[in-house]
Amino acid sequence: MTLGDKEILELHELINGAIDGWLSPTECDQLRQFLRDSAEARRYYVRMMHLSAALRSIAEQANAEPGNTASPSALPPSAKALPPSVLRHLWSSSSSIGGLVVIVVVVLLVAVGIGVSVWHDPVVPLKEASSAAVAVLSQTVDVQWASPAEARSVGSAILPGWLKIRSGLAQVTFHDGATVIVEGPAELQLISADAAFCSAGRLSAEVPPPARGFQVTTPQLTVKDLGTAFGLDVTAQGSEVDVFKGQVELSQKAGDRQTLREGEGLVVDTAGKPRRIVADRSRFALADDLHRRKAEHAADGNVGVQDGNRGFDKALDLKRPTIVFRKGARQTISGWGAGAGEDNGPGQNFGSLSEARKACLAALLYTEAHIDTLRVWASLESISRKPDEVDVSRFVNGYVKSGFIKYARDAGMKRLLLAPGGIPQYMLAKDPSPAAAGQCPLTDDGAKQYAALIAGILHELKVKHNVDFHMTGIANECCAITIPQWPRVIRELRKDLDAYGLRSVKITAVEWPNNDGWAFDRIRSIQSDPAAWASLDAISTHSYAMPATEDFYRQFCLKPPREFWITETECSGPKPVDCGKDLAGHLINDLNHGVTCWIYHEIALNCSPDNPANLVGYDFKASNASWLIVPPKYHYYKQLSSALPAGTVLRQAWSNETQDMRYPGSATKYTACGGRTADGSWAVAVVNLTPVNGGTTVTVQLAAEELAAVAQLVMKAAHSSNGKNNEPVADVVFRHGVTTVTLEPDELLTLRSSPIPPTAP
Amino acid sequence: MGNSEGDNRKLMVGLLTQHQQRIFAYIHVLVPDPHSAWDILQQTCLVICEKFDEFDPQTDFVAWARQIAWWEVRSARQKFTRSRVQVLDDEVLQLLAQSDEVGDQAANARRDALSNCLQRLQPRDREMILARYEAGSGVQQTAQRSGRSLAAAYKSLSRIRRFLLDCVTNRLAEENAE
Repeated sequence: MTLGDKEILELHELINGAIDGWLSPTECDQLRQFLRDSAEARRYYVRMMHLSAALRSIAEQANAEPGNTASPSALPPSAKALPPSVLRHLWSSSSSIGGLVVIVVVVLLVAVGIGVSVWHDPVVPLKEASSAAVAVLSQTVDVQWASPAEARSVGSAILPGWLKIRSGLAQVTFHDGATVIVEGPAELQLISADAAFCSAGRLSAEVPPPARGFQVTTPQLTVKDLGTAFGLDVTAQGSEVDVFKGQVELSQKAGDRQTLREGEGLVVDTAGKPRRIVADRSRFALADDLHRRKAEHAADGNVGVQDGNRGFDKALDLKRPTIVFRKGARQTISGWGAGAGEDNGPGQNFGSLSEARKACLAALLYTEAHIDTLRVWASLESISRKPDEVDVSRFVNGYVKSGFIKYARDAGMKRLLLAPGGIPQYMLAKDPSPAAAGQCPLTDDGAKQYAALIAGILHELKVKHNVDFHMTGIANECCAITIPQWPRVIRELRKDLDAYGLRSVKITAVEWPNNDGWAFDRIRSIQSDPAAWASLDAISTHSYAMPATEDFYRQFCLKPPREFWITETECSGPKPVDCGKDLAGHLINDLNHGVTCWIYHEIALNCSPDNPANLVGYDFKASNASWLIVPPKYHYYKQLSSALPAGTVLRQAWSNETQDMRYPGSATKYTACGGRTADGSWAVAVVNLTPVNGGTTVTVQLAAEELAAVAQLVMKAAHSSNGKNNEPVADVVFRHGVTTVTLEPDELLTLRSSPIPPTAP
Repeated sequence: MGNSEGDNRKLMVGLLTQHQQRIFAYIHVLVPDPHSAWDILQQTCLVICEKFDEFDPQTDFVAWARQIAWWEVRSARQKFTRSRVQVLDDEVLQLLAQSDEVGDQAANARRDALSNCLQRLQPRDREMILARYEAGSGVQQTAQRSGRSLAAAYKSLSRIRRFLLDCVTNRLAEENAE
């Protein structure tokens, strides 16, 4: 098909509609048809997209150029060709020591002939201090410098330049009077007697009135002190400011200024998006802590991470990579989940399997892998095409008549979670709006209708089909509900459920793909409405590129405790065994950041059997033994759900190398979680996140503060790795709470003790 | 980290710097919304960073990166089932991905030509088209900033792109002729 002028014109408009997001479904079809039928149309389309790509890059660069690049230190011009957000990521990843990006940035500098020396100013002893010195190193506790060349002695003057520590505490007294305590790993650039730049790490600053105006800049913001004490935590995710005393003035790159007062805090992510938090004094070392830790250090002749427990301290060698399981209960695991997509119709249906295969599959998932929570879908657009229509036949055919739910219940599934997908067209406004991210938002009437529809579906399923739900989500991954509409939809839904007598059905939201600012803003909006907040039984997100973080846990789940569900995540790496490691990394990270129920997406009700995303694949048609495909990731999941059963109370696992060991998204090579199970035993999971090909062995010390008084504790161990599926390995012995383990690339290691009395001798 | 790892990183940054425009052009062909495409580029670059150890320097970096990008586009399409990453269907996507020109060999030259062509626009049009492509900017904001109605903004953007496409095509043809 060759295109005439008229067709070209029409095509041009359709392509612009695709770029600018205004195509109707009919126009989408027209564009697709053009592209399917005509190579010339495809060529034109490709040229337009290449133009559009070049425009996007130019706009990004133009935007970045006025001093808006990622690193405040000079990056070479060639590096500017990289997207600034990539650079920002590269830059911010450097917060972890040994992380990839310190290296990248240094390499860049070397590559353009700027010596590394600009990064490290020479150490000048006090007696030789020139007038150029801006501060003095006033105290240290067990400080490890980033390199021997960086080492400084207490009392030495510091010229403008970098101070890099790997671990321990360093107190720096600026000449203008501010006292800063830096907790390693950290990188602080002293700029002048009253200013510094922190690229990574945690610090606290105490500023006496004469030193007012002291300021610290991070890649995201500048904190200007107005006579106060504050904490600053700079990580790969962004910067956090916590004010303990007085107030600070805060400005972001965009130029917005605001004041934070005592007890207030703010997190600014790498995209510059701010959100308020409550200040947490306990996370930062202030002068008192320094004195206490110094005293411990002197008394013990060793490092103290815990008050007065010499056995523990002696066993622990903080010079080595270490994961500490901190004292204190966090969240309780409420269950283990998986999702099952909608039925694809005859022949693609659980119902078409033989009874033996149904039972085999159910046993594999719900009995052996302990999946007690099942997420099932209701496609609202097909259930309700017009107001007042509720047609659940598709759901009933796929999940109920096929025996899917019955077999699951018989094998151990206890909780059903409804995932409502899509929104009926009649509930939506006619025009897209920015508040709905360019999609058509729910109308006010639509919000009411929407809540009523979900309640109606749950009622219908219970009364006519005897299906009881534990919980329902709201509008999976949906932009159409705007920020102010969220609390309203939740209030309406609670009211409607109660009116149907469905009081026991819980509500969770917002099920956005990532733990990002989008999800945070919407949950925050619900939190700001007391009635809606009281009706939200669990916050929920998905854990794709951005996993669960401490922000969400602290802001929404701590006081009063609230459940945090990850209702979807998927691992489909290039190699099957990498998928297993990836699944374990996501899962362990999320449990270490407040998650109470973790749901894998999905167990293949409608996908092709070889879809690499599936936890277990099965072929409805195959007659031979190959009908069932059990990839390595199933074994990783099962190993974790066996080691950390529902009822386990987590502790916080913390690494002296990469802090919270966030995965994915940080340069960590391993991540871990652990806690105490309901029967009183200890459980720990550690995974080596480096790939099978080209990965590295990880040797890491594990130190459980609560086990410090236990002279010896034997734990049973199991592992999965390349070719090994949840197999037992030699026992691991904790002495005074400390042990060391070695993991091969991709290896997941889980440990479980026998029950120990709550107050160990 | 040893020297070889440092060298590896150096190589990676060099290759990314050199080829990211081509990788982005490829993604954008598959995802017509420029901001979604940009987000996928970010994700792709991160995966490239993480997986760079698996890259064989004897092979074609762009081809390798395109495989990762393809995977990221697919995964975005699975995740955001109702959003703008769904404008094209799988069949069309396959056709486009197979097209020879999709990788945009001339990406860097195209960008230079475009910089030049942008200068030939009326200032108001230039500001408008660049505003549309700024991070996070929708047509609505673009319209407001340029003092146009939404409908007028859609029309203007289409007209400006047509002008730029012709201009860039001519310039590239001239360069090739020289």
